[in-house]
Amino acid sequence: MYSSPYGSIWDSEEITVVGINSSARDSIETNVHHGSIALQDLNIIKEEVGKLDTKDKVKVLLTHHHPKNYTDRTFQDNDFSIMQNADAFLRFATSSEFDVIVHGHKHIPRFDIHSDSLNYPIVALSAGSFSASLKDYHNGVANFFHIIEVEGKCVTNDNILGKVTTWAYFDNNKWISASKDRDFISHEEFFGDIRNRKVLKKELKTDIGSRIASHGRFRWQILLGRKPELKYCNLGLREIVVTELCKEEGWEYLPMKNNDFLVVLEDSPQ
Amino acid sequence: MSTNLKNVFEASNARDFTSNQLVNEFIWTESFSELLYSTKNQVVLGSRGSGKTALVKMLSHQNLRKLANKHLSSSDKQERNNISEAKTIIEQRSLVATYVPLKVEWVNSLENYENSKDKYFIWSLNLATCARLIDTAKSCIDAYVEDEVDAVLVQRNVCKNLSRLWTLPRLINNFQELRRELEILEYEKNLMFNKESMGLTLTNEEKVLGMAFHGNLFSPFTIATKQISSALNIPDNSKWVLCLDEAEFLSKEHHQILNTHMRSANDIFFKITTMPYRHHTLSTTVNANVNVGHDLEYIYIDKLGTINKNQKSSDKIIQEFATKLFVNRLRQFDSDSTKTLETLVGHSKLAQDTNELVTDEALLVMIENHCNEVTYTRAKKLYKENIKKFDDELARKIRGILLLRDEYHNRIGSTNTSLYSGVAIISRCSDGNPRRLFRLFNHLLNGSVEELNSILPSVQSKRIKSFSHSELEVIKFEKSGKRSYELIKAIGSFFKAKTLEEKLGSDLPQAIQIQHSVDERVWAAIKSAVDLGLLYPVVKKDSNERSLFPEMEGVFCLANCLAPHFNLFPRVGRAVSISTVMNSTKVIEQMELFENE
Repeated sequence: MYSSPYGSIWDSEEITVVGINSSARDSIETNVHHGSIALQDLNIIKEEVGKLDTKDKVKVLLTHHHPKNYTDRTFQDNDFSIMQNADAFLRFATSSEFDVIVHGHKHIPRFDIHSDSLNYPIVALSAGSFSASLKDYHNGVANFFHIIEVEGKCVTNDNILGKVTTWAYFDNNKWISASKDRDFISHEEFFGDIRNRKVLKKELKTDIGSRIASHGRFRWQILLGRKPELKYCNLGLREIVVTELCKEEGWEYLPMKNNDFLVVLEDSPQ
Repeated sequence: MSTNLKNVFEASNARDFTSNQLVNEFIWTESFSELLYSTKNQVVLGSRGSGKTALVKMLSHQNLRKLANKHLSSSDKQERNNISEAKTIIEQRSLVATYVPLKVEWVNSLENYENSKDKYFIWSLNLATCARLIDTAKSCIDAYVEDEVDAVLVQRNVCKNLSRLWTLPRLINNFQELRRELEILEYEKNLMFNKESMGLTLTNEEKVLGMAFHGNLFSPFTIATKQISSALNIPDNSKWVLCLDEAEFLSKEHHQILNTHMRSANDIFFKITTMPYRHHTLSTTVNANVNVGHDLEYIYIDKLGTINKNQKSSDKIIQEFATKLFVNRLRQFDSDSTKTLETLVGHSKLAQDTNELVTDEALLVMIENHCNEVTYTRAKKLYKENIKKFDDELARKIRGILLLRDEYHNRIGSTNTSLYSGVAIISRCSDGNPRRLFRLFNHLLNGSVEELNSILPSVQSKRIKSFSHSELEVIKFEKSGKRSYELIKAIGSFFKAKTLEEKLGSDLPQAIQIQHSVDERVWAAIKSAVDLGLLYPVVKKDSNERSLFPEMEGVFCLANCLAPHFNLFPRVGRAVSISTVMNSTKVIEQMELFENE
């Protein structure tokens, strides 16, 4: 990690983790600058990864700086979060079919799915900080920890299915579930189902519509019995789609516990 | 697992506790039973840190329900019974309470709306009570509707009905959004009131914003409770309770408004907390006062509500509370810990009621050395004629004081006493005040991050004296605190002189008596000291009478937490007139109390 190619590989029976040190060129003598990964270092690491048998393993790529330029909600100073050669880094990730990218740096958690022309979706987690003191520096950002659970693989697309669960720490409340409104990451972020918005909307319109017609109401949990892969549909995407459908179709969305929800006809007596 | 003790006993305000913290640390007291079972409006009086907020917060449906479902690891029979009682109340739906804190910043903001103060007060309090009712409604649905789908449909109906009743701009079908809508409404209405106070013209839209909350005080809350009752089959004879916390921040006029409702309200009961002298008035906005004993009753919770009990009973209750509080807090950080307060600090020598510590013979010598002639003669006579009477009438009362005095007079250099130590003395020095107990535990541990090992009596004593000093010092930073500080110092110094310097009698004074002729500034300082828990009224009468806190009269004892600072034995002694204390030559230097600041 501290000499070229500034990377390490941890390979075990079920998981392969590759770490790339984007802070390798930092020191007390250098000015603040972007993170960086040299292309030649990346090629060497790629070659090493290529030698491994990672066929049925979960593959995780770790680095420090941001491979993507996120919207900044902290301060207006110049931001050196994004790394040089980020595009090459991300290309390396998709071409080597990593399942998860985890990085840090800004201490503000974010969850996303990254994909490119190779069409391989990667879970991209910008992790919060477990132990740094953030109150004064980061306008009261909490401490976080995340658990990434891989529950299986999509039989069609071979990408991992699972969720990222996040907890936030506040002085008064200690560890509590993260919340999208407050922490920019939900307590549970599911990943794996790759239906896009249009496809999901079309499908749910039929599923919900037919259920309401026959039973007067629709419950998500019942649909999961028929289509279990929908469990891994991202909840944010799901909410957007269902909210839109409710508006268009005159339905009413009723959130329930444990990511469940009900849909009924608006103004129905129930 | 080792416990990082640095933050374990950080004194905290129940106002900031999560539901889980409150339930895990809560200790059921007689005062809580009084609150739970009374069919009257109640005003809960207690000094700062006495546990008022914890009590009324625990009454709220969501917290009482959590308590009813609490898993008990210990075999405490009393706690099992308490939990069973809570369970019965929840299952029978006999009490549904909503907790509403009256925040000081909100009350202060009323000053910004000079011409609309009353309007703003009513509007804001209506909104605040309804916002908190949402939590109650949610808890009721969780408790009384088993099926998940039915629960969400009931929630939908309740929310839509409340949206209509509260004239919200849209129909909302879930509690989360309803809460958010009320938050936005509060913000927009604040802007409107600001605009109005600046003399700007309001639009019609602004004027009708949150119109429902401009109605009669508590009407939006009351009608909402009826909706919820109907949706959840809560019986007509159930008590709906509104717990208003920290009413000391309100003005006299606001108290008048609240009193008016207590006098007339049948649909909801009130539990209002305030400091002992800060139920500002019994008058109402109509031509009749609220009647104590009929329209409302007082519950005084200082000393854990043992103010009417004898010293022995009071000590026992406070000590049990202190030991439980220690364990409950410690278990939040280390659930496997078997440490107790006793293992940390051991027994108290000063509080031991036996002659193991000093023989009767040795005690008689001490009486000869330290007591006046009359007392010594009486002691000799009793010792000779009836040793049991000697013990009951004299030794038991005076042993602790003599030990302190003897040690004080025979101390070498700057050596410290070791007598302020042990569970009994530590409990007494807390005055049964939970927040004070946490401060005391913190002082004992002295910021240690080490394992919980037992602390030597001499070290305990040193730390308790430091704690005692800090309890007094902090009063200086209160509003008009300097006067109260000087008064307490004067009283403490007087009793110190009586205890340590003058020859002792058998009935040592350690309380002050106030007559109507007391200077108003002195009276203000006394009230302030009572509110802060540094003086306690000595009350013998029925707590339902208004005479619980009479104006400009009464007997008051120094808080036990101050005893170590003044080298006193923590006790209630004979009362002396305040003028005797103030005229004493020893305290002449405190006469600046009477000077203009």
